[in-house]
Amino acid sequence: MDSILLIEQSLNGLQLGMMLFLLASGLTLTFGIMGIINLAHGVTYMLGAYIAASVMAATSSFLLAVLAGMGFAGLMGLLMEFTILRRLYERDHLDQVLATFGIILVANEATKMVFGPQALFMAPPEYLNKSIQLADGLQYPLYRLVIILVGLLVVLGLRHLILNTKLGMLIRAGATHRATVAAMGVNIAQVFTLVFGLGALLAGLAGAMAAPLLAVQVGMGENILILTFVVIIIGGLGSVRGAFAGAMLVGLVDTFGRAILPLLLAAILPPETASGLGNSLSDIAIYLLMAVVLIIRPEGLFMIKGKR
Amino acid sequence: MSSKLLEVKGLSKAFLGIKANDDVQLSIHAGEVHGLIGPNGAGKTTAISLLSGELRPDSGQVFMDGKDITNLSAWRRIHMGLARSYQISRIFPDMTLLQNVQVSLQIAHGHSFRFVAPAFGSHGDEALAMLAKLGLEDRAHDLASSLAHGLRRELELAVILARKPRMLLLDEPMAGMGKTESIRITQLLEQLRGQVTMLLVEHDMDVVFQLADRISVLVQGHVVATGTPEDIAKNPQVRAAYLGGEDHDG
Amino acid sequence: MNKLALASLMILLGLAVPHLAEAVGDPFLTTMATRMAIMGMAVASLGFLVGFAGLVSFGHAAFFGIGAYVVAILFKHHSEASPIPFLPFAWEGSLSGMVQLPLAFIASFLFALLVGALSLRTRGVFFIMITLAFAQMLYHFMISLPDYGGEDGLSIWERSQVPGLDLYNDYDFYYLCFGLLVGVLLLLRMIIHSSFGVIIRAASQDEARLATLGVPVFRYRLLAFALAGGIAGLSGALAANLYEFSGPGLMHWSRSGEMLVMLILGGMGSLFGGVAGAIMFIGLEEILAGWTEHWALILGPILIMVVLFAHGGLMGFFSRGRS
Ligand SMILES: Nc1ncnc2c1ncn2[C@@H]1O[C@H](COP(=O)(O)OP(=O)(O)O)[C@@H](O)[C@H]1O
Ligand SMILES: [Mg+2]
Repeated sequence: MDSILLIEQSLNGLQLGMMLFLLASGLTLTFGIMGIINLAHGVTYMLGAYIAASVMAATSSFLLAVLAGMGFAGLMGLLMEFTILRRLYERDHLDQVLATFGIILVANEATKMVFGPQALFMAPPEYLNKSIQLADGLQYPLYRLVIILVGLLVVLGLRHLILNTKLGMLIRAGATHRATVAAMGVNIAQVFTLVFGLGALLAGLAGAMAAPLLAVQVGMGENILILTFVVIIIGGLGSVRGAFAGAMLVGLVDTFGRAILPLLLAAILPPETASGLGNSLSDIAIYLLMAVVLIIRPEGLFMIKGKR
Repeated sequence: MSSKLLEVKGLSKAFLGIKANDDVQLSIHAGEVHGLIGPNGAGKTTAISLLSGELRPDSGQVFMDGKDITNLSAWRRIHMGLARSYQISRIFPDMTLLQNVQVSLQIAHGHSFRFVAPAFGSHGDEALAMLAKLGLEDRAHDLASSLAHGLRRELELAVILARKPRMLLLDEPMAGMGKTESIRITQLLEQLRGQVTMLLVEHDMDVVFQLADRISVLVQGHVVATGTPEDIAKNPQVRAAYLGGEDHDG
Repeated sequence: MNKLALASLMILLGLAVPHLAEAVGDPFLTTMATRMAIMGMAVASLGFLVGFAGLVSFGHAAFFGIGAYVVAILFKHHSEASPIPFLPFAWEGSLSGMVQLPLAFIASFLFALLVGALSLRTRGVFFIMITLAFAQMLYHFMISLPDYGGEDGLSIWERSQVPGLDLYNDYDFYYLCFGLLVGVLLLLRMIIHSSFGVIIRAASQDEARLATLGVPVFRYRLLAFALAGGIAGLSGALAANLYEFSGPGLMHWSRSGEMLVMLILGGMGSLFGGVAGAIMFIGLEEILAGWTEHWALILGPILIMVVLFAHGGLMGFFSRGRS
């Protein structure tokens, strides 16, 4: 594998990792702080993508599309928290699974009714829809670079929020010393709602940014949700830093698995078998990664406390 | 003195860099009641878990009957007669008191890999007798989760005594108990003296000094002194490090 | 009404299903009841794990899928008269149910033994996720096998041959599934009350206590996990016969999720809860699907309502109603 391909695949991995981080940061915070397993996190991602694609089609403004996708996803997240999820914080994980599964059913069906069963496609805006020369012989799509950049901005923003603001202090404290925070007279319910809304907003951002890269369709949320869970399990529940590490790891392993495995297999197998097998085996790679992490460290890589 | 039932050599265990047990030396003679005292956070519970096999030491060895059991898993140690109680009692909350003891007896008889006969059909009388010993027979058919704190401790004792242990590791068996309950447990332990060797971790100094044949003092993971209650009460080092310390919250 | 009377009533009702279906002139109901019995079996085995052993597996569909693939693969090799690869002896599969069904159980049991051995050191959410991971690995692995249909799966042209029964006859097929379901429930009930079952239940209440009472908890859990996997495999083998198909979709994580949903819907406090959940879920799906194409819009809120207002699932709701 030459260095051009290596750089290209690294960038692809980074881009997938940033995407996963946008989703994982919200999921890990809601799990770490509120102890809730939210299968419906993928729903906000899907909604972000749908709204962005529709607004883009109507207005041709990419910025507006992304903002609308984010905003709508954030609002829906708040609505979900307010009507259903806040009643489930103290409940069994299984109850949370059932209720959020119910939310998925409703959201997916409603989305199908409103937008139709066909997938939507969204073109990236003209000014981003080109490749730029990064090095000799290395052309890379500008749009993917923008995703990486947006991801980095979010990483820095979240870092600032968590380390330097009152909300961040509460989030940090809430993840480890929930009772203490409550005893300080802070309205913990409000903090939860805010964090939840923030998580949904970021998931919506991920959906909106992903919309030009893939078919916008019902079910897209569930596919990425499982990957996101892999990320936060590897990273350790409740840790944003861990979510970042996990997202990068999963992004890179997935991308390189996809690029390298077929090449390796082609050396020993007939070509069409090799590519088919290579593809599915690279799907396996991330799950293998998670299983291995859990077999070696049954509580994840960066566990912040004995929470499960 | 008599032979050593349990011997601990240089046991150390750290959590995230904090040395909970640091080169602990203990020898417990067959038949004695050995008190283990020390301020909160001294490492008493950690020591018990190292002895029971639930924690693995970073270094050091544990011998029982002269046999090295350092790497023996917890479930095997009790088959050698080493049983423990917990600082916060552990029982099976969704079972009745009787069933709790029945499970223990079932394990003692070693026939848990059986799939056909109903389990709670056997050992009923033996279990009831055990409960009666602790004055719990009236509640035999109540759920264990319905018990108040003190009674849970008594049930836990019934459950582990059903295993007929030779050596008991008791982690604050009187903590959070009322006066009468506490007296009853003290009497029970007094009755067991001689039949069962005991390592007794307890905050209530009156109880420890009344029951123990010898006492070891643990401070910051170290055993700073071992001796008869009289020796310990007089030991200036102990008084300085422990009895005179701030942290004496009884 | 006591439990025995209730169970007898349920069995009588189950026996009467095909006749009732005929009486109301809707023979399709028998097929639906067959589906319910098949899923009921899988969900009951999951209920044994979750409700009694305290092990929340999010990969149960993998074992179900293995059972289905065993039937499909044995059929395929039999019909092509080709030997099954990687066997130490030459064997061209079989159509006999007396071979297919036990083998489905055994294959799933063994795979569950492997997954359990690697997973049972984790707890809680981590156990949920590692079982999910193994199931997803198997899902993608099956997709990667073009000889066994890859993404499209395998069709089965001939159902299993069971002596004395014709599985192309809806009655026969239903009674086979129903009989096996009753058998499985009785078996699980016996196990739950046995010495082994008591250990399993105790482990879910306080694992550390059980260990310091002298039980190697891991072995007991492993066996329970494998047993549940085997039963799910048997159920999958029946499903493959019903659909005349096996494919990777049967193992997808959403199918594992669906089984959990059925279980929670029915309630976990009793073995029958899983069956009740399967009946309710499939029944609702059928009724709503016949009524509106947007059935998910109604089923979703029902699930949410069950969680918010009917704690303990359907069975819990009824048992509270009675007391
Ligand atoms: N599982 C654990 N993880 C991290 N630290 C622990 C753990 N168990 C005990 N410790 C620490 O080890 C020290 C000794 O604790 P412990 O053995 O419980 O003391 P004691 O029983 O004498 O009060 C304390 O500082 C405690 O915080
Ligand atoms: Mg202690």
